Amino acid sequence: MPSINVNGVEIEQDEDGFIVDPNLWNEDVAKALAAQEGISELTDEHWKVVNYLRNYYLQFQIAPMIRKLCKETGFSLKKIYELFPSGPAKGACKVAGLPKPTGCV
Amino acid sequence: MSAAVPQKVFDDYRVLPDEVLKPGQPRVEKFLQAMRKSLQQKENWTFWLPYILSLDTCMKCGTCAEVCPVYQATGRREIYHPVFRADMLRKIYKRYFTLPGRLFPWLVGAEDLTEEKLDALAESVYRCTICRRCSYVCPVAIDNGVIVREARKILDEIGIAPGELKEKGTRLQLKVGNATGMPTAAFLDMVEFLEDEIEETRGYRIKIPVDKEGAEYLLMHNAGDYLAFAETVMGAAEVMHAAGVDWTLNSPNTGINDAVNYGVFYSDVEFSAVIKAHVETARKLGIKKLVVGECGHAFEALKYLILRLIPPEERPFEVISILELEDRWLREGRLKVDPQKNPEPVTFHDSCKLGRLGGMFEEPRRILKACCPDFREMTPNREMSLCCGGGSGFAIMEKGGFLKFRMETYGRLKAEQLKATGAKVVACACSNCKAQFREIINYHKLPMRYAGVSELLANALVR
Repeated sequence: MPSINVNGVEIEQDEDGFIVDPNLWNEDVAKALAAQEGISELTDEHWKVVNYLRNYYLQFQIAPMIRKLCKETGFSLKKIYELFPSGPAKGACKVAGLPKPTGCV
Repeated sequence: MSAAVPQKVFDDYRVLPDEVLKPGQPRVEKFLQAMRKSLQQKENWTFWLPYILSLDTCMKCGTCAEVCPVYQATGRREIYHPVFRADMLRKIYKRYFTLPGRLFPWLVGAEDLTEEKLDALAESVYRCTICRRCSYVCPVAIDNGVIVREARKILDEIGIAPGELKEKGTRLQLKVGNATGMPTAAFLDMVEFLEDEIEETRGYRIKIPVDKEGAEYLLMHNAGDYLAFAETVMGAAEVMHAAGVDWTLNSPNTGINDAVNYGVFYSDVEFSAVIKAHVETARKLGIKKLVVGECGHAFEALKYLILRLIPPEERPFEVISILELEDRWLREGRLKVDPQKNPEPVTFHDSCKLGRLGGMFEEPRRILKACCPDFREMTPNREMSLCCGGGSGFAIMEKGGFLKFRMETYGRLKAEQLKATGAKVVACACSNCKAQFREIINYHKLPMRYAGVSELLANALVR
């Protein structure tokens, strides 16, 4: 299993790079995961997406609908792809410390 | 930091990680036991006869290869020839389960199975989407799709199946009601959001019924549609509302609220467990008709495979595709549309499961022609439609560089076909196709978008 070291803490990842225990997520972990995604700096726009995903997940134990993510952040899907080149599910959810979305998404 | 790159076992991709494939561990004996079982009629209720006939009969004419998207797109690489793949299993069959092969293996093309050959076989059966274009043209009716599925079944019996389809697919669905892991509270939040969205885009509010017992129609979507293709769910809701019928969606509280059944792709055991749970859910709700949303393999499962497993008296409801309903209601004049609302040129992609397998060619075309003034066919289409490359679970598999395989084989041919139409919208009625089109449009930079058939129909509705 791969893992990522953040501030001396070894955090386990699944084969797709998603952290295995979402409780170990914090802002530094997000930055480290973003770096793995090729995102050098998390801007306010990135954080807007990440925080929305994070809060939705904590409330509902699943990622939000992509349409709702766009609506609530005010970003188009194109913009989200610009921010997270792997897209909302594989990119943004990963940085936000959510488990990898499953099923036909 | 990152995972070690798994060793190559077949080609440049590794869709089954080491934890699943377990290369180096002894698996041949178990494989042969499971294969023996698959060859016994009593143990194999799905497609035993076509399976045995397909193993016995191939005359190596190569007609299948001429229509195989993977073989053609890779510049006719031998390892992607449909017969090469089927022969990987056929050689084992002949060597261990036929008399001439046991006695004179060199005469009949029989070969010993080794652990390395098992690795290669396991990866190879996940290079074919079971689109069954080859089966359609075979002069002696060999079904390579059945062979691939049987091989996947045998592999699953010995613990080799993609996690996307099993642990995070059928197993998760049976546990929580859907393969997305969506709990009821989240589902209800999504439905409310969709009601808001419909109101905002159309200017009127509709109530989307949930868990209504005894409803005439239970509309069950691929649950992934809520998350990724919400426009299809919204469109279908608007259509049901406009038709004025007694209908409902269902939440995970009622059992299974996801039409998918990934067992179709790799396991009869998983298939049976999921479809029984579907039937139980529909019976508990006491609905009259189960409407399958825009999902190809779910239609195969609930419309056709179900007939071979569940006796009629145990499924007291009709199964119908959303496309059949939409087509019927349009022709009856129950739905009124203004095609000028969809001015862009639109083409239609025949999903393998709805089209070549299910025969549903005209329904989506009648719908689209009614609500899109510039409808353009792709060539080829209908029975000879090219698989998009998302079928048999591929749309949600991307480990080991697999997205590239999907994009450079099936995806490349499809992209060329799409471009030639000049259409701005590719309509389709299957979640796997939509997920694959999302990637194709992005990867091959096509100036178009994809849309569900229900979405385009809803957009053309007049009140």
